[in-house]
Amino acid sequence: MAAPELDPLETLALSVLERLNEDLPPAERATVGPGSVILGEGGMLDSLGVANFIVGMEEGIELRFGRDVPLSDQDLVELFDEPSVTVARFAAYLRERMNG
Amino acid sequence: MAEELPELVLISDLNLDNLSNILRSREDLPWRVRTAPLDAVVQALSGSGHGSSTALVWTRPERVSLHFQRAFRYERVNKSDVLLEVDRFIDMLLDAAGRWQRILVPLWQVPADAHGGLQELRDGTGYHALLLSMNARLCERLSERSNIHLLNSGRWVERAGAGAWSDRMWFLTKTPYSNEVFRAAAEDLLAFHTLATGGSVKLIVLDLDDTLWGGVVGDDGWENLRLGGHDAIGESFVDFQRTLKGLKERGIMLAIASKNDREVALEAMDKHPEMVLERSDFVAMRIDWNDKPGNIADMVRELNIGAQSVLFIDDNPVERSRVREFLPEVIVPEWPANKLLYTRTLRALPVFGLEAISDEDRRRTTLYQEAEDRERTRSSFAGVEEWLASLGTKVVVSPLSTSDLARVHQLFGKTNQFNLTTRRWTEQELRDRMEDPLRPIWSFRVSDRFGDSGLTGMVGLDLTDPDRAVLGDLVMSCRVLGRKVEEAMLHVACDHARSLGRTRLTAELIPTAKNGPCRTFMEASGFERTGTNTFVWDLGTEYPVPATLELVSGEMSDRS
Repeated sequence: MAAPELDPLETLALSVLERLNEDLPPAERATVGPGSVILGEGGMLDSLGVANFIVGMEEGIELRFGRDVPLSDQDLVELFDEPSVTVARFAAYLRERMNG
Repeated sequence: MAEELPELVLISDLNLDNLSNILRSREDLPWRVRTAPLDAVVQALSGSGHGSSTALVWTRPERVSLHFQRAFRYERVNKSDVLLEVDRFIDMLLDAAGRWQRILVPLWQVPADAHGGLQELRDGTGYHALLLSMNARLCERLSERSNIHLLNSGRWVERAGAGAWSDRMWFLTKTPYSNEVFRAAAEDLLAFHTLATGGSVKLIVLDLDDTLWGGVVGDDGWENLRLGGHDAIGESFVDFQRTLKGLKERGIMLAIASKNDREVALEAMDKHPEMVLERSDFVAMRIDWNDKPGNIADMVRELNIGAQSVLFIDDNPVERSRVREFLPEVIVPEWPANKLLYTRTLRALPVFGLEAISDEDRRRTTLYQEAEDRERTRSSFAGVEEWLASLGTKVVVSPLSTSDLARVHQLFGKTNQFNLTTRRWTEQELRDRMEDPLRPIWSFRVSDRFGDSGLTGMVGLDLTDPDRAVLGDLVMSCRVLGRKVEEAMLHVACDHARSLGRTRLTAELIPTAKNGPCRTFMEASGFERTGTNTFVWDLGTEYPVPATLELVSGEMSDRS
């Protein structure tokens, strides 16, 4: 199966974040874009938000690309080992992993 | 100053932070939401000071019953051990019930796709059978308390579909459900609040053609309508009518707003052999060629109910749109084009309270028909006083008693318009007040020559301060508004306070968006207005009993 392009994964990540945003009180909603920081310093997600996001991504990848890409069974902070991770960086990581 | 919202406390042994977020994402949320510490159910429910708060107690069956947990892991257990643990949990809820305004308890669930083998529904050994018994126990034992409500969480899981359960979220955050489940739960909680605070639909206004029966009676003739018979659509209309009839028996009034020739439509109602609903099932009928919003507004006015208590059902999207535009408070659901889906659509609407049914509920259509008769006589009298005197109104006042408790609790919970303070007493608080001479409550039954309106009013006094008397509660169904019953109620309150040597009776109105009728009455009541919302009667003068009615003490009256 051909690996998906970067854009669909980024789009998926943004749609998951937007859905999570809708489930937050208005004052706690963040602006979502490719440059939004999702993990690490200045990240828009609290620990529950990170879990919601990761699970949303796993389910979304399975639904849209028919691929089982486990994310929730590892420590993402250790995995990235970067001070902060943006939506674009996360999508790039996923593409690399799915191509690998 | 903005009125402070009551509190909804989420008490659970599972992580409900996502539910909390989803609830707080709603701008129309009627609560302040607080989440109790995880897995501290007993501690969170204990203590006092929750009188105006609602607790959502959402637990997992395997946490409440360790024997059930073992059964879920395929061990053999005794059913009696499981139910013993369930009973302990129920005892704790019953003990807490008196300290909370309401306690909401979702039924227990386990993933339906968890396979329990050949024994899963065998009584005593299968865990699905055990779960059914556990939930049945909740229903049996908690039904006795009116302020504990079980919630059908199965509906939330079903709505969420295959993704309802999330093992990923469970192991990551102790959240067993997906947000789809929590969204459905939030919708139900909001609907519950609306229903529990008097927002239940009281009147269903129905179209006729292609709504109550299939076809257009004016074109097809009543003999050719699709209603009953060996016909899927005909059967679905009969099913729809039966469901409406059931709602009517539970106190929901039915009315018709149809563009038709009246005689043609009524002939169909009278003559079609498969017609379930009869003329007498409808509290009002507007069958003419007038605009429907105007007709509905007329009925709402005549029945003296709020437009927000009205549900309008019409197959025609243009009519639905017009009613939405001109009567925005009326509930107008989208209605399916497929007639086979009518009953299911009606049943899915979360707008019917269907609480413990009282005599008043059962007789509601009759009561309003009597009211219509009463109003019709009004024009034949020169003045209101003369008309009121002609009604022969009898008001029976009684101290709050056990037999009236359910109705009184219901009236306190549902009455918004003629309600001085909109305090929602719990059943336990009302029981306590029955024994408390410093906080007495009286109930009022009203009847006249047109019929018996039943228990329609309450007055409560607060005499805890020895220097004054406070009218703490003045609640009346709008059904009897304008017949001077409200003045008789004030007389009773003043008379009692006078008999105890108090010199002034103070009424402090707590204004809400809905209790304008009570304010209007208080302003004209004769009480002196001493503040924006404060009204005082000098007990040196007797508050008069209206001459147009007879006030009788229930202790001496035969209420049968």
